[in-house]
Amino acid sequence: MKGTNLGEFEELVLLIAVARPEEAYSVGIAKIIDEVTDRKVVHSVVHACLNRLLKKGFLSSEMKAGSNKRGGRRKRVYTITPLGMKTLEMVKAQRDKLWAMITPA
Amino acid sequence: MGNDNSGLKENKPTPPKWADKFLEWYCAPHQLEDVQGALYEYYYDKIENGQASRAKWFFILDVITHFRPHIIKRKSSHFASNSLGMYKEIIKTAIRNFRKNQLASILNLLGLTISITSFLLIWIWIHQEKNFDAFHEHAADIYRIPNTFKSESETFSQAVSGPALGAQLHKLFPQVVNATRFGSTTAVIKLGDQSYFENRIRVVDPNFFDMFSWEVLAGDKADFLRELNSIVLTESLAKKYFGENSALGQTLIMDNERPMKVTGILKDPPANSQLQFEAITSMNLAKVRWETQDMDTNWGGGWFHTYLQLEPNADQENLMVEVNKLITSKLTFFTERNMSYHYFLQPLTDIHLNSDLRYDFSNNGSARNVSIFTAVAFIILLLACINYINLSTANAIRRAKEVGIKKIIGALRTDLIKQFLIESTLICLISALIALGLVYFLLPSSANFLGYDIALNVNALSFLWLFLGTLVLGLVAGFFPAFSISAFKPLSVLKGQLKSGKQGALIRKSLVVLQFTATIALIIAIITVNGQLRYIQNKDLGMQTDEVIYVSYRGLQSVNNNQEILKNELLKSAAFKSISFYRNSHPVGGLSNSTVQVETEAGKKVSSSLYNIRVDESYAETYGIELAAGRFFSEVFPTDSTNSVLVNEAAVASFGWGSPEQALGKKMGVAPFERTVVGVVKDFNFEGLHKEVAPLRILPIRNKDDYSEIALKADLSDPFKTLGFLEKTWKKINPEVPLDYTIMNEDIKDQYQGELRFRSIFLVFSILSLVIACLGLLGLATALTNQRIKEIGIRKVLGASNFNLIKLISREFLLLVALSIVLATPLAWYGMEQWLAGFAYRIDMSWVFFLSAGCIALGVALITISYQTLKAALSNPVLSLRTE
Repeated sequence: MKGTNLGEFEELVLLIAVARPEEAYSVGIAKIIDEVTDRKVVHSVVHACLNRLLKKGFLSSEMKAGSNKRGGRRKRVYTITPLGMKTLEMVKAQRDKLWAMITPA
Repeated sequence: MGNDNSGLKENKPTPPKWADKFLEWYCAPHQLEDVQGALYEYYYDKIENGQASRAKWFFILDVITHFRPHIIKRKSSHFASNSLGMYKEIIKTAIRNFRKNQLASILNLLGLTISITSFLLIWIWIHQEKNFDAFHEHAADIYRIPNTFKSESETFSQAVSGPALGAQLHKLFPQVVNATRFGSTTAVIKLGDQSYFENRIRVVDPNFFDMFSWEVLAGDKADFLRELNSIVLTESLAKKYFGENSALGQTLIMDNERPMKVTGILKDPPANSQLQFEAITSMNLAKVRWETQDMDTNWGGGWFHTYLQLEPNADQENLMVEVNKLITSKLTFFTERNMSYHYFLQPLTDIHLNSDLRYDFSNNGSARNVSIFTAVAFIILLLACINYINLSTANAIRRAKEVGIKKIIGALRTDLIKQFLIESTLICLISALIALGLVYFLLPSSANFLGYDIALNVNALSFLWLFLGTLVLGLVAGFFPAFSISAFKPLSVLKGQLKSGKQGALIRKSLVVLQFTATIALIIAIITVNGQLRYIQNKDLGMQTDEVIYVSYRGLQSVNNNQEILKNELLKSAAFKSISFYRNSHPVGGLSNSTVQVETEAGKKVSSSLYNIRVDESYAETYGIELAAGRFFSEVFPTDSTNSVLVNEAAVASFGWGSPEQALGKKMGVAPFERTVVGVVKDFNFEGLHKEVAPLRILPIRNKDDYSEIALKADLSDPFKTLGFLEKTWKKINPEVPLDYTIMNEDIKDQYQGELRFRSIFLVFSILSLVIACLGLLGLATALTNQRIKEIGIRKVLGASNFNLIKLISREFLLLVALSIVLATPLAWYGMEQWLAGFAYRIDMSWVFFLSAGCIALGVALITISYQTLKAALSNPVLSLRTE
């Protein structure tokens, strides 16, 4: 993995994990992406992304009890790590800096 | 598919079971719960939304889309990382064991190294033999076109064909892309005042350079033979004449009169080429030099090796039917006399190993020898494997405690098997590395042993094969020990109940028998080969060759002019007893043959094809050939040169003339060239002892200008004086012509080069196999006497004599060797009968061979184990019994 680089989709997933900690598992995140961005995502893509973020150390995970629908199976719930948080803030700061340079037409 | 029984329990739909199972199969265990849960969640979401029918399909789709690396990939487990440590441990134990049990380890290493080295050397040779002529770009499409000749009295196949085939076939048949003839000639080549006889000049058609892929060093292929007087040299011949200077464009004088321009330089033909040459001239020049008119139109006879390049996928069968039809229609002369040529095709790459025709190339190999040596190579590998198996199982007791402890700690049997297999593979790999180095150093010196230089072209692939082969060898050698040693029960091992050395005793004994059977069979084989070759070399050839010097001057006019002077000058010396001039009739290596009408006993004329020689009156005297009836040519009968002929006994038999006496007066040939048989000579071998003596016709020469060579019977007790006199006299009389002589006995020996080489290779490998078998025996004897040391001590205390003890220990091994002798005898007998069948004159297998092979094996085995037995028998029993 290349250091702290954060892809657009990764940033989105990470933001949702911070914003909606109660929905921060793969299916939940996928649904929110659906709602917010109005784009259809496949579950396996979200899952792969979460895996990647885990490896980069931006997220940590824990198995927690899931709903009935899951047939009694637990779900992996993700929480952001301090490193993840810092990276998110850094990305935001960079964006803000660039926005500030744009003179309103 | 999935909803079959869900209704029985509760009325809740479930996802398709097979898809679910598939997911469970591919998904990494640590991901499964989360992923499967997620898919279920989607599934039931859909059902809640009233999309029950779609839910199933979406589930299946989901299962398929999740088939991705990050979900499939198993987490590297705790156990996996531990097994790395295990491998380290295994290698460490292997090295310690190697050190601890040095004798067995070194014996193993030695045996394996010797056998792998032998195997590689043999393999390189076999590879070379099997890839003869494969280096030509069009090799797969090139064929030689030899024929089978049939007359009323005989049938034979010859590698050479009528000259018109090579000149015309590619013009007449569209399937034949190209054709070339390949013939031989000799000439005196002169540069400045240096002149040499060149024997390996070939005459070819211009297509020769397009069909075959020779490496051109200088000159343009298209110009090579464009002009009549051009010559193409090989690199080494160019060096001989011009040194380091460029030979291209230079001029050489041929036949003392013809200026030849060097138009090209080729790299020397590689050793694995059946076509060997030093210089090449054109077929058109040959026409001029040989003064022949019908070279492109004569469809009969056997003049040249002819090669055709066919179109890929040409219908060969059909082509040959057409070709034979054409040739038969052209050869009415032969057909009318009940003679015929039947032509067939030989693939170029097949000729070296599978062709044994009249006038075939002398560098041809033998498929039989290739398979014999393939077998020998594998036998030698097998012997070394057996050593490993025997030594490992005999020493198994040393490893028993290790196995017991490991098992108690929790090692699985598979782990232990893995350990022992790794050990065996490791030792094989080390041996292979050493062997590789040995091969590298031995290969250059083995060239003269194998008959030609071997170009070793190593590539990554050959190393890969070597590596894989070594792994397989390691597994084969380690398989049995690994399974037997790992089967020890920890409880009995640690309680000390394990009887030492008893494990696999029967198998070990059978393997020793197998080993010695192979070795003894090889020894019998080498004794037979040796006996046969000695027989051949000493066999009476029907002529006296001890004192014959052979001089070839290729029929040069200047020498023929001085025949009488030379004869008289040489006979002045007492050393020279008899001198004979003749034409192309050197009785070693390829006489020519021609067709003739022969009168049978019944007086009828039949067609026949006979070898013939053209000689003068002194031929029989010079070669010591005896007469069976009648007389030899003589100056007393001036009509001999036109009216008389002699034949050999084989010809008498082939024409059914009854006895040599009855043959006298029979007619040969058609008027006006009819001749009368005036004498019959006893058979003498002019083709080597591979072949029966063939029918032979002896003709006088018509014109003294036709002579081309000389045989001199001379006293060779002081060869320097005799040859010096010959050289001096020759120089005086024929200053222009180089003297080119050989000693007849050497020529005869050269005929058996192939066999002598076969013998030396065979000798080396049978000795090596005996060495390997003895290494194993030594190790085995050491291990087993060590284990019986207490028994020996007790026996000694109770009064056994030293001799008793030696007998006790040796008996077991010697019995095994004796059993091997019994097994090896029929095997070797069968094999060597096959080999001897290749000789027309052969020895019979004698019981002496088997007996002496048995004695050698027993003797060597006894010596091998003697040190151990003596040590055990002579040791003080106190030493072995005190401990405990």
